[in-house]
This record gives sequence, structure tokens and C-alpha cells, in this order.
Amino acid sequence: MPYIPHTNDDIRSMLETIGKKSIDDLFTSIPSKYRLKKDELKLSTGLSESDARNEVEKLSDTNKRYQPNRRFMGAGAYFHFIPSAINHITMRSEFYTAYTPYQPEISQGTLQAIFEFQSMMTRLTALEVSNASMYDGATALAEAVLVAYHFKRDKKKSVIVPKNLHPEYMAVLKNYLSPFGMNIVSVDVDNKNGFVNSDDVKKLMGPDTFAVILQSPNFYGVIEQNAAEIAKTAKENDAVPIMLTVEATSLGMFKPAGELGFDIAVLEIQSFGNPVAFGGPHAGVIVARKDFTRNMPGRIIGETKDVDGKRAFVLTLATREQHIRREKATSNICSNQALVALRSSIYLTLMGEDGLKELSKANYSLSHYAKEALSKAGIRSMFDGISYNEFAVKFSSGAVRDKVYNGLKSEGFLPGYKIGEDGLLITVTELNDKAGIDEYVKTAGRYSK
Amino acid sequence: MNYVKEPLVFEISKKGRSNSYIKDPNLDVKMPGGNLLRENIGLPSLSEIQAVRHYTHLSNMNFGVDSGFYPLGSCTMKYNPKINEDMANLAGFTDVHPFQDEDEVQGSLKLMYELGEALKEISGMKGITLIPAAGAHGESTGIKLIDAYHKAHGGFRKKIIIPDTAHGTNPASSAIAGHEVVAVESKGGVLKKEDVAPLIDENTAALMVTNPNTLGLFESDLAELAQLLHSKGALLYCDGANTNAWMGQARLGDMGVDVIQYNLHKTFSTPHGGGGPGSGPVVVSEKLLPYLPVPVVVKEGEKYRLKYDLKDSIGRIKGFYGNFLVYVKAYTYILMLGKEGVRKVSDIAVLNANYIKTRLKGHYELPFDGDNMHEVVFSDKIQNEYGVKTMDIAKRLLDYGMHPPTVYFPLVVHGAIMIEPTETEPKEELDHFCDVMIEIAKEAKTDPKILHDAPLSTPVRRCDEVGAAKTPVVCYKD
Ligand SMILES: Cc1ncc(COP(=O)(O)O)c(C=O)c1O
Repeated sequence: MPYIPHTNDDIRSMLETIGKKSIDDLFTSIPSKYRLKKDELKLSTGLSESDARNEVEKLSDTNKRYQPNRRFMGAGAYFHFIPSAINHITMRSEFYTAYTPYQPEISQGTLQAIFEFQSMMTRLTALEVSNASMYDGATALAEAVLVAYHFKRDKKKSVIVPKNLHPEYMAVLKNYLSPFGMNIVSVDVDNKNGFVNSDDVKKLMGPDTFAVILQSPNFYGVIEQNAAEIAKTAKENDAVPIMLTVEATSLGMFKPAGELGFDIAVLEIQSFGNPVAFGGPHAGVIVARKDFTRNMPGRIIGETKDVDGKRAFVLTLATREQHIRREKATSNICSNQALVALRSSIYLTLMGEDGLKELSKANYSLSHYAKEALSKAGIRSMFDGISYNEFAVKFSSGAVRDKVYNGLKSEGFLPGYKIGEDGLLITVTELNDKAGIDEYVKTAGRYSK
Repeated sequence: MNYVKEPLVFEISKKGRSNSYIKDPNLDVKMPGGNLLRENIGLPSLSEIQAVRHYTHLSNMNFGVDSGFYPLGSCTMKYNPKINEDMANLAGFTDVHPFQDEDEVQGSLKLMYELGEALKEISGMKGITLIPAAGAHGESTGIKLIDAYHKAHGGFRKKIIIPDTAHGTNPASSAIAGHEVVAVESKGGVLKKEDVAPLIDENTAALMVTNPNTLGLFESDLAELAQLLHSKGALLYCDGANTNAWMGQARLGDMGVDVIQYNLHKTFSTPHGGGGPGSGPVVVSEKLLPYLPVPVVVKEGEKYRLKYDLKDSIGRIKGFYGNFLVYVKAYTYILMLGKEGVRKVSDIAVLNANYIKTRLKGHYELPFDGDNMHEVVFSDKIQNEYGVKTMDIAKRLLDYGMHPPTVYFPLVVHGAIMIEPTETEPKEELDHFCDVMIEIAKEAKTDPKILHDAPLSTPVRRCDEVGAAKTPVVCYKD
């Protein structure tokens, strides 16, 4: 039997010690009418490791995998280069077979790595306190809104949310907020530029507003140029400004939430060394100003000393969490996405200060090169606002869009993500190259005629 | 080699050092203007070898299932088979985008569908969502399903009854969904129908139990409790964190349970990763089928699809489709086990726990001596007499090269020591653990100072947690 080390003799002698005749006698607390017979479950019989491998490989082979420089799809999950060292380090089983670091004496590896992760997150966002990770960017955003709600003592009920927020994030937000009877107030997007205007936020701001969300780069890939002004407006009206960044590599070049005056930043960190992997595991993180420390959900690692005066790291501020506060806790999160956070830390360590900056620039350059080339080929961007590594284009009709999309696919490109009736969201990262982009543009141009 | 100290990555950093993973694309593109751009980030700069050594040193200060015995109760720290990791690293899984067209991702969808079918079969439930990212996420999803059901059948019900043995996430998940938590005492270790019945009224949404409960005891009255609840229009939620005790032996669905969340990172051998990612699929009874979160994976003919148009669905609970690579691991594990293996797991998990219970009984106090299943909870009462507490026992175990059991949980046991060996530990390991525990019980009598000073052999010892919380230092400042 796989993974069970017991010989028949072991079982016999253990039963003897316990004083039972058979293993079945250990299960008498399950009412007998519900006991299953040995073969009752409708599952197949167990496989050898080589047969199991074949079965699973067959499934993975059935999936279509595009060549790295022919992938133009993002929309919340991004193809980036992943240095080999990341897998080699995270596959060290002292990391991946450990549980949550409840015993600091034998968990300094995880604890220090996550402390370093938190430090990197505060630096990336120019804020002061980071948690150890959340399930993903979407649930992190929802919980960040709840942080703001509780920070304002549960008194105000309206949160302003831009229409260019990632639609799945919007859906998750609605779900998380539903028990609280809140108002989700949508703010329009500037038609021409694709970003939010601060006047439009001002108009919606009221005494009941406790938070304002902005996503930058937003779902259409556009940088929110008025972010600083919107954060200021929020604060003047006693609301918490929250900045969401789903494409975290953009932080290698664009101003971070803290510098723009935001109180809370929410990141999806998949881009930092984690594969797209059909949508998960990815991870989210909440980073905030110090005042929010005791309202943060999830685990936080802190520095301390041990009895000998040595620097040590521990899980801290646990009195916020469900295992202490139970029904008084403001979040129920227990397990998080620690290994994804570890991967992200390793990624940022390997890339380094200069490497991340270069990476951002490469993304920006390649994507703008593609955007201009497409425009020259008659495929226009939807918005004029400055973008990072992804941008939306618009075709003359849905039929043309679909023709281009299918045409690109038939020639081995993952074309992008269809948006609306006639749009396409195109993502270009450092995995793309000039030759691939040129061919993509030529092909798209051909099918759009 | 064990490292006793490793500098922070920032302390190893030297400005200007970098690795060349990225080529400059050398395109004639101007960077955007002025005040949108940032200057310094403050990331460390290391060469690859320094980075690899740094993290290798950190890993040497960590303890995983591969390092040694890890009887952390309620967490099911079983062996994480290596083939699972290899399968999850296949490029056909890692390099596939969640928004690729359905005909391009049939392999992933089929895997999700088949895993779902197996989990339904094991529990005897009718529907499933794999999406929740962990147990607690599964719990809040399950509670939302219950709420949706009540809203469609006469209106929201505020109360959720939860035994005092429950894991902290149970009451927390209920509260964040807007519920009032009604605690019920499980005298004698298990729930009695008579104790629960008076608490159920027309405002009761559900009873939320863990089965076996956190004392390791099976809730034998479960089916009667289900009937009782159903007769009052309420539902039965079961925290499935302890599935390792019953899988293959019985099906909670047959007993009338309406919702169960699994923890794939416990029962189904996917690693805990130092705290995650996990996966908390939720299986439901017929009644709750219409409310499952979107998307749901369906099979139509020979094709697999993601279904979004479910008019009564509670909506979306997470981006995309959950922790997919964790599914790959759990699926591989189920393929390997097959139906014989699934039952053998709980056979041996329960045998191992009872063996430890028998061997340690008398040396440690056993506050609830029932028919234990996969885990057993002792206390430090005997050792208290010598001034030794659970924490001392736990720390002393570190010196013997073992991970301590879960301590101070469940809360109903003062100084709890919660031991879950799992089925993957050989008899020799259990014997060694028991010998050590008995030795520690002796030390408590004869030389309690050793226990108060423990651990002596670890990179750090007894950290100041109070100080850490009082003046939090949560990131590095240079
Ligand atoms: C009984 C029980 N329920 C729920 C949970 C929560 O699971 P997770 O940490 O995956 O959210 C746990 C694990 O910590 C548990 O032991």
C-alpha cells in the first residue's frame, strides 16, 4: 500500500498492545449502519507510481501550451520569466513540508524568509506594515476593504469602486461584502484615457464613504494618473484610499501607493516568480500604514529576541486572529499562501533592485513597441492613457475581433483576452521579443482586413 | 549542518550587484514622463550564489515532515509524496493560462472534474466546488451556501450553533458572514442530542461540528442531529479537517450532513508549504446545489466546461478557479491510493493514534478517554505537580529532534497536548516518540529544570513573543 509503512506483524502487535482484535474494532463509534464495506466506494483501484504518472502526464499533455514569445494574454495572470533557482530553493523540503511556523525554534527559516518578504513588500509599496500573504489579490482586496470598514469603526457603509477594476475582483468583493449591507458605488472611467478622473470620485464622495479603491495599472492596463489627487480627496473626506496592483512588476518603475498618499496597498504577487498555473496558487498581500497594524488580517511575522538575546522571528500580534479571538475576529484566514510568498521573496532577491527596474522597463518598452506597431497596422488602442505592459485595442466589430483572435490562434499565438463586444486586452512581457511581436502584428493586421 | 544565525537578505546586499536574467530589448521607446515614475525601491542586491546560499541556510533552520516526526494534531502532517510535486511542476499545467479557451485546457478541466467526483464519492455528497483556497475559506463558502438556502426558504437565520471544541476558524467564519455564534458545551467529549435540541429554534441557520471532533472522538449522534436540525428547517455543517479518520470507513453525507469542507493539505497529502497554499473544497447535499459558487466544472458528452450561468449561485469567492496545482497533487494521490488505499489510510491513522494513546496513558493525563480515532488529546495535569507545563514538554521534544504536538488546543482541555501521528509513520517512529514522551514525563519528576531550560539544541530558544507584540517590528529598517 503506498505510503503506509506497516507490516502485518506491526499491525498485529500494535492491536495487541491496544487490546483490540481487529482494526474494525477501532471504528465502533461510527454507527454500524453507516459503516462502508471494504469495496463499496466507487473509486478505481490504486495505481503504481509509473501508471499514475502516465495518467497525469496524459492530462497535462492534453492542455495547449504556447511558445513563450507567442503568449499575449494577461488580464490578471502574467507570463514572466522564472529563474531556475526559485524552484530549486522552494523544493527544499524543509520549506515546503513544514506547517505554519508555530514553533519558532525550529521554524526560523520560514519566519525569517517571511519577515524579509514583508520588508520587501513595504519597500515596494512605500508603506509600513505588510501581512504574510492572503489567498490571492481578489480576496486580499476584499479583506482590505473590510480593514478600512473596521478602521472607521463599522459606522460608514459606502465604498467607491472604479469601473475599470478587474471584473473578477469586483465579483469577489461583492461576495465578501454581502453580509455587511454595504453600498458599492461605481465610479466612471474617462472614455478617452481609460483612467478615473478625480472630479468623478469627488462627486460620489459622501459622509457615508469609508474607502476608495483604485487599481493601477487598471484592468485595461492604464496607469491611474490622478491617483495622488484621488487619495487626497479620499482622506479629506475621512475615507481610506486603497490602491490595488495586480501586475506587481509595474512597481519596478511606477510610483508606489505610499508615495501617492494611499493608506493601503493590495498586491497580487503572482508575477514575482510564480507560474500562471491555470489560475493558482497565486497570492495576495495587504500592505498599509502603521496605524492599520492591529486591524490587519492574517499572519504577521515580527522581530524579537530569544532568551539568550539573539535576534529571532515569531508570529506576532496573534490576538487579532481567529485562533485567539474566535467569533470576535474580523477575518477567518488561517492557512495563507506562504510558499508563494517565499517564491516571491526569492524572485525579488534574485532580480534585485536593478533587475526589477530593468524588467519593468523591458515590459514597458516591448509593450509600447507592440502598441505602436499595431496602431500602424490599423489596430487602435481603446485608450490614450499611459499603459504599462498591457493595453486594450478595439476592432471595427465583434466579427472582426473574433476573426483576428481565431486567426492568431491558428498561427500559434495566444492572442489576448477578449473584452466587451469588440475589444481585446493584449499583454506583452519580457518573454515576448521583437521578432515575435512583429509577426503577431503582421498576422493580426492580415486577419483584420 | 544546522545554522544558528543567518543575516537578513538586506544585510548581505551590496548596491550595484545584479544577475542578468533579462536582456534589454533595445527598442527605441521613450519612458513615460516625470512624476509617474519612482526612484529607489530598496530591494536587496545579491548574486545568485549568495541568494541560493542565503535561502539554503534558512531552510537549514526549518523543520518539515521530511525532517522528522511531526505529530501536530488537527493538521494531519502526513508524508507528502514526491511524485505529487513532479506532477504539479509539469509545464502542461504550470504554463496554461486560466483564460485560455476551454478546448485548450481540457486536461486541467478533466482533472478538476475527476477530483471533484472522487471527493463527492468519498463523502457521499451531491455537489462540489474546489475553489476555496484553504479550510477557513471553505468554511465561509459553506456558510454562504447555507445563507443562500435560508434566504430562498423563508429568510436569513442568524444563529449558528458551534461546540466549544471547535477550531477558531469555525466561529470566525460564522461571524464574518453576519452570524451570532451560540456555543454548546460537549460534556463528556461528544455532542449529545439533548444538549443541542433546546438551542435549535426558527432562527437557527445551522449546527457546525467537526467530525471526529478536535478531541479525536467521533460524533456518533450525527445522523440524529441532522434529523433534528432538518425538522426545524436548519442545516448541518461539518468541518472536514479530520477526514483522515473516516475516509473509506463511512460517508458523512449518508448521515445527513449538508456541507463539508475538505482540507486537501491535510487528508490528501498536499504539502503545507510553511503555511500554505492549501485547498478547501466544499461538498454539498442536494439542497445546496443551486447555490454553489461560480464557475462550476461540468462534463457535457466528452467535453469539460466551466459553467457560469447559475442564477442562484452565491457568486465568486476567489479569482480564477482556486489553487489548481494543489488539485494536481491531491488527484495524483487519490490515483495512487485507489479505493483500497483510501480506506487503509484511515485504518492505519486510527491504529497509530490509538497505539500512542495506549502507550502514553498513565504517563500523561487523558481528560476525555473515549473511543479515539485519528488523534488523541492529553494534558499536562500530572506534570503540573512538578511545575512543568505543556510548553515545557513541547520545547523539550525539540531537543529530541521531533516536532511537538499541537499545544493548548482544543481550548476545552487545560494545557492540551494534541497528538496526530497520521498513517505514514512506521511503528518504530511511534515507539521512539512514546519512549521520549515517557522519558520527558520522568524528567518532569526528577529534573524539571531541564524542561524549563529546553530547548538547548535549536538555532534560537524561547523567543520573547510578548515583547514582539508589544513593540512590533514587522519589517527591516536600515
Ligand atoms: C479543525 C480545523 N478546522 C479548520 C481549519 C482551518 O484550515 P485552514 O488553515 O486550511 O484554513 C483547521 C486547520 O488549521 C483545523 O484544524
